Amino acid sequence: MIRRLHSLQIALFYCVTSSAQILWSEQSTHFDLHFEPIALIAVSKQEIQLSPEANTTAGSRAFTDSIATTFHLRYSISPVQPNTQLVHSVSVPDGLSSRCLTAPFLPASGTCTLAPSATHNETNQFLTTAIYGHSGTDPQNGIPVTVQISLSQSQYQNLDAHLHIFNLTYQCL
Amino acid sequence: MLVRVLLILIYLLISHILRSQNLSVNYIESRVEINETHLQPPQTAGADFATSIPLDQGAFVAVQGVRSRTNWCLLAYHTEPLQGSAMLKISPDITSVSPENIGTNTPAQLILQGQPQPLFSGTGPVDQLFLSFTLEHAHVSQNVNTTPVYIQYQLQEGGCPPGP
Repeated sequence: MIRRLHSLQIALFYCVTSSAQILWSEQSTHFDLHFEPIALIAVSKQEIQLSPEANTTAGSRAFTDSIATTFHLRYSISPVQPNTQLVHSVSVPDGLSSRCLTAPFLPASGTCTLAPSATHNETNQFLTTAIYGHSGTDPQNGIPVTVQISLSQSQYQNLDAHLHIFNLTYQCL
Repeated sequence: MLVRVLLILIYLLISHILRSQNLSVNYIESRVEINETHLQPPQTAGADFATSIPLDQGAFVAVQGVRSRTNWCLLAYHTEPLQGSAMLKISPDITSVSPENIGTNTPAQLILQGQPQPLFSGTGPVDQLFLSFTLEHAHVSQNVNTTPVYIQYQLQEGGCPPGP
C-alpha cells in the first residue's frame, strides 16, 4: 500500500514538474472597436461653362437642342446619419430648363450610390435618394455629374456670357 | 516518516508553482473609433481603410506573485475573430519594463489568432508592461458598426518558445 502511495506521489510530482508550460493565470478582456459610418457629406461649389458654339463644316453656326457637359465635383466625406439626403442646388439662368443626371460614383460593390438621376423640383434643387455609407477600393477623383441644358434656337442665339455660368452646390441635409 | 519527507521534498520543489501568480491587463480605452481619418487617402470617398491602422488603444500588463528570477511567458489569443479579413496586431513595448525583466525569445509583435501565441517573455514581477494595438486589413465594406474585441491572456511558467 505504501509502495503504491509512493508511486502515486512520484507520478504526481513528475506530472506537475516535468511540464515546461504550466498555466499560472488567465484573464479574459474585451474592448469595443467602433467603425463610424463612412458616407458623403460633400459640400462643394463649382462653376461650369457651356460649351462654345459650334460651327458646321459649311461654316454656319450649329444649334443643338441640348448641350451636355460633364464635370467632377470635389467632395469630402465624414460620418453622417443614415438616410441622409443629398441636395443638388443648381442656379439656372432664367428661361432655361435643365436636367441633372448623376451616375453611381462608387464601384458596384459599394453600398452608397447617388441617385441614378435626380429630378428637378422647380426650385432649382435636385433631390436625390438617400445616401448611406459607402464602400469601394479605388479612390475617386470626384462624382461625375452630367448636367443637360436645353436651349431653344432663340435662347442659344441670345446667350449672354454671364448666363453661361451655372453654380452648383451640393449639400448634405 | 519517509512519506512525510517525500511530501516536504515535493512541496519544496513545487512551492514556486503554488504561489499565487497574478496577471492583470488593463486597457486605456474601453472603446476605440475608426472613422474617415483612417481611410487611405484620408477623408476620400471610395477609399478603403489603410492597410495598417495604429489604434488609440493601449494596455498595461502587471504580473505579480512571481519570484525575481522566474521566467514566464505571456500569451494571447482571441475568442472571437474580427469581421471579415481584419486582424489585430499586439506589440509589447519592451522599453516599458526593466531590461532584467525581459526574457529570451520575446516576440516583437503578435497577430492575434484563435490559438494562444507568445506575446512577451518575462522574468520576475512586472508592474506595467505596455501593449499597443494595430488594426490590419480592415475594409469599409466588411467592417461596420461596433465589434467587441475579446482577447484572452495567459500567463505560463517558463520563457516563451523560440519563434519561427
